[in-house]
Amino acid sequence: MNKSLNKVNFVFLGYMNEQELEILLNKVNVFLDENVTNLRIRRRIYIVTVEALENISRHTDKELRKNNKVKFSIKFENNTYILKFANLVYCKNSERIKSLLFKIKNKSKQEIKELYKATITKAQITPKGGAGLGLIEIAKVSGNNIDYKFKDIDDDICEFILEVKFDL
Amino acid sequence: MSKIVIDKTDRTPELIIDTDNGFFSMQYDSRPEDVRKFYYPILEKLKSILEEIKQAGNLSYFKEKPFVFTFKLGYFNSSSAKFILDILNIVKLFKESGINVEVNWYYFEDEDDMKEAGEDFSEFCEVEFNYFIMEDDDDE
Repeated sequence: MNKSLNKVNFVFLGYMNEQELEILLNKVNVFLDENVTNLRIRRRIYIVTVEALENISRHTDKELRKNNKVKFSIKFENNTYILKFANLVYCKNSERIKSLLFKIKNKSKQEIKELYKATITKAQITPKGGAGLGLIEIAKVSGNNIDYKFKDIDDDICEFILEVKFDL
Repeated sequence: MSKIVIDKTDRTPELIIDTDNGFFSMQYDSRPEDVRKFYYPILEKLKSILEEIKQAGNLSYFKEKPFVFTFKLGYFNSSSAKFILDILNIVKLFKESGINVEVNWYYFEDEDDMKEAGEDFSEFCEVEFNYFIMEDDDDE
């Protein structure tokens, strides 16, 4: 963790599972308490962090898990908090995420709310505990200030990078 | 008829279901490790309470006095949100069965997002909520 006058960083690089997630979220909470004075933004950063890391913890392909070092950072620059999450996914499984993010991107606040309503009212909880709401919640909470890319690692595996911004 | 109290943990909310007094309360954070295991029994309990009230012919009692549902939530993840809506959809069934229900949604003064979440739930389940600002003592 690196802290200076106008730049605060929280960086995590490691393997993710339920236990690691708990430890990490506790550290994030302490970091936010100490460094983010705006309560609304602090709360929103926490919500996005939980949803993104729970997604990674729940949905990482089993075979990829042991090689999947998750990257997560919170950076404060030019009056903006920038959250970045990166993890490995099988390229063949990336289409579902891409199509949802494509659907979300550029939607207005009202359209996101409608998508949230349509999804939550029909949602079935999967055995992994997901409701298919995580990315929509992230878009809702961040005012849709999200960006993403998929970087090819090889023919089968790519890195999914999600960036979420909160302006002060 | 019975009273059920489930203590809070780091990841699950405190729950009180007091059938005799017509009271349901959910407080603190919700991010259960196994969200289905935590919420399914609660949904089943609420459905059985509704049936009990209907079968016992107690509808008139709850026409006079409302069955109160109180939510004082700090944080809930998106999977929990789905189940909170499921609970509220059962509240709607209470109402449609002729039971007078009251839903009280609490939020901290500086947390508009939580109030907005309540407003969304109210719209989704088509049940009117009362909104209250939570004092710090309420969350202890």
